[in-house]
Amino acid sequence: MPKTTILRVRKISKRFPGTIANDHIDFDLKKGEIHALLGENGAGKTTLMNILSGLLKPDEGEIIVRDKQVFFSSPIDAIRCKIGMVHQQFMLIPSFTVIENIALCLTSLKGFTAPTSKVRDMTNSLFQKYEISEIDPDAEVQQLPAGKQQLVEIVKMLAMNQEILIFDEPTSVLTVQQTGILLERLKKMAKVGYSIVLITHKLGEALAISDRITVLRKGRVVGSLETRNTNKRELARMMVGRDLLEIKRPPADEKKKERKVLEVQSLRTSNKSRGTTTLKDISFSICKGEILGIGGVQGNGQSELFEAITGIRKVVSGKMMIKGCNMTNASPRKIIDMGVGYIPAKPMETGIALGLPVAMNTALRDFSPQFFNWGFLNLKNIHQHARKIIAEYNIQTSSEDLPVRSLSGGNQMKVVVAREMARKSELLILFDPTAGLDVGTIEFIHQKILEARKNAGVLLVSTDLDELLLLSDRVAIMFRGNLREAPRGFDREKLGLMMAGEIECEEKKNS
Amino acid sequence: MRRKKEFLIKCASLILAILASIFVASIFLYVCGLNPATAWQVIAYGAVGSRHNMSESMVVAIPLMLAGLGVGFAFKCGVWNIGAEGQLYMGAVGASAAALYLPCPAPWHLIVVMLAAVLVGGGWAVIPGMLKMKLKVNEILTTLMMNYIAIWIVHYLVYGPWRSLKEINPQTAFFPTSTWLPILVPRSRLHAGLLIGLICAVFMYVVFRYTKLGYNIKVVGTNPKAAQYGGISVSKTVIVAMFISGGLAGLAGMGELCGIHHYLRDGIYRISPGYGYISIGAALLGGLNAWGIVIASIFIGCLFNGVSYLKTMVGSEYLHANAPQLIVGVLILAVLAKGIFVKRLMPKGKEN
Repeated sequence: MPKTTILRVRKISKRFPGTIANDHIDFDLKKGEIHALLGENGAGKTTLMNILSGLLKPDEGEIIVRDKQVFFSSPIDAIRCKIGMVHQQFMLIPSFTVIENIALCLTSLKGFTAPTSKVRDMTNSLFQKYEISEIDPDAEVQQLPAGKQQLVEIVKMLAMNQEILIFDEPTSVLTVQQTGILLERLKKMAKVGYSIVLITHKLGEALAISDRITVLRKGRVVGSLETRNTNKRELARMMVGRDLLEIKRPPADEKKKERKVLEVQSLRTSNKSRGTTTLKDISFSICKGEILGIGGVQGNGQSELFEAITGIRKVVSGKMMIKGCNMTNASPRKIIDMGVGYIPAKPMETGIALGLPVAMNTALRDFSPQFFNWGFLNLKNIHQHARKIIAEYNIQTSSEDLPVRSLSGGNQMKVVVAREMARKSELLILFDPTAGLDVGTIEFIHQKILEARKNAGVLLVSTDLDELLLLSDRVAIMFRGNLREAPRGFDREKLGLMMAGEIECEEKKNS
Repeated sequence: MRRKKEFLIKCASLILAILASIFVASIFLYVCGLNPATAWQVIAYGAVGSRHNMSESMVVAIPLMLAGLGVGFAFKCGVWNIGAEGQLYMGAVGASAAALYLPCPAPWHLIVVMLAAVLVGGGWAVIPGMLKMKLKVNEILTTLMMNYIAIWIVHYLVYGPWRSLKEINPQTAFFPTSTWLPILVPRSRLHAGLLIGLICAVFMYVVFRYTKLGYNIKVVGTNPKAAQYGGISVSKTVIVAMFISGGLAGLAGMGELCGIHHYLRDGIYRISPGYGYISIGAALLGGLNAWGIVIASIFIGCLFNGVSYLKTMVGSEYLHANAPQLIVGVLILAVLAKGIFVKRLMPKGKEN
């Protein structure tokens, strides 16, 4: 049965000062299909979808919904055309309950208060229909983890009777397991007749569930393909514009391994602070020239461990040695001065000052005499260094004096990565260094991490199992504040079970 | 090219904002029974019309400049210090104590007085800084409330222990001449506080452009988390910034005493008609930039003095004593809201 086209976009263009975000884009969506919109950061995916959801007005081109041309002047117009968008940042009110959030989106259309009991019935029936049992409708949204908040967003769209659903990078906030659940759910929704646009830069996701894939690069459509007729390689080439390099990890150099750069012995943190995972007796060590990968489902103590090692969180007992010096509970400054480079989780919040120029951000954290002496800045060196980093890491900015805020998300991340990698650190602590980046950049950063390994020990914390398996010499998994090292040769499946706490590796060591 | 255009748009919207505030102020003048056109002529004459008027405008600009630079330091650090008024008063207390009770040889006495003003004004500002860092108390509330405490401390001192019984009005004894700031222009009140203000502006410029301290303050101000992760001590930086902020406001108080009054007083003769509050406007108007703050405080000084002149000309049956504050307030509000003009003008720039 040929599917009818429900949404068509013709020759849409959108210019921003200095760039063309969308350049004559054609795109169409059939009823009941999942259409993936694939592209690197800055390819124009989000701009296109913001146009479709009424947040932006196109400079040229037309939008046709159900054979009728439409003009959106605000998101309400798009909502009236039954187009709903699930944004990367959730549009929920954190202190409201699930029911209240759903009621809010209904009343905002009608203009009067919807009776809560009616909304409750509606929510419950939707929950039943889509087999959602994991959410308490009376829970406050801020107490729900990201995966469940996203589900609330989806239910919101369903409650509003939206038929066209646009998901903007929906898996960027989810763990491996949650991603699987979400993708299954999207498939089911498409089967019952919803039309779904999935914006993503992850090839695997697009291939796994979509019917068709449209690839964007630099604001233009590179091609539209039937998913079953394509493969990862072809898509990657379309996205990046060249073949991806095969990253191979040479075995660690045994000679260099003798020197321990980081040694942690039975580290514990206080169990008093709320909302955090207590570290329980964590011990491990990293030698120069090796990469230790730490995996695990988010929230099992990885960020607490990271904070403890970088001196931001105090530990109650245990010992931490960096290059043989006892640095237990030392200040972040002292730890940085030991030659430790790190990329924190959520680097946009913790690693970068968005309002300051790129040059000033590349000097952050590095109080070496090269940039600072006698309390004064060496502007010449700072700018030189910034220009070098910008060139070497191919950061897209017209000048190092522009505030980082003016860069695209991927390029902001590159500034952080470049800054930490450019310092010749002997210990690198990386927390999800490629989260939210596109394939081309991820490949580049992976290469840089492997390069850095030559002279440094690397602690790589990542929720992405593939990344861990690709880069790490050893893998350990965190589960509920415990760290267990996986025996050599553990594959994806077994690591997944460890992450779920179903294999205790200490016991398996004997066998 | 685009940056140039944006700059022009920003200038145009600044002018539009000033015109809008002149319009609103004109309504106010009209309601008070004055002909706005004539009134503005008088204001202009009062601001810059004669050598005397010009020097009087600069006299007002001096405390605005010093306190405004101080506010700039705190705001750059992300601390909303609106306590410049209180810090100015405490600076005046410090200066008076040193002037009256710490006699030393002539050239040193003035320096000791200045140091005392910086220490007491800065120390006063460090209190809310500490409260913010250690106990997470909102600095907007504490700095504002501490203004009242400072004003009442001055009240107590002037009526109580420091009162000079030789004078009719409640005030301290006259300061020894060794603490008087030299007059820059003969037969005027324009005192060397202006030079101190300009030196402090250079200080601020250098700190934010060339020093690690300025760098730390900017990082803490834009993203305290990034500062913490970057090994910058947030609380140390905030406290230092607050000390400098209060110290500069304290210098403004010292300037008023040593440059003009030469004694500490209170009541309707109080040393500041809200300079500390107006200086917040000067800091914002100047875009938290050292030279911007200097220009903004001179501009506000002229306007303030011009309206004061108008007020004395037409008398209190037309204009209330606080008319200058009102018109300066309208101006600051309009300029801070100039964003709406920028927004209206910008889309045209986008097309090209």
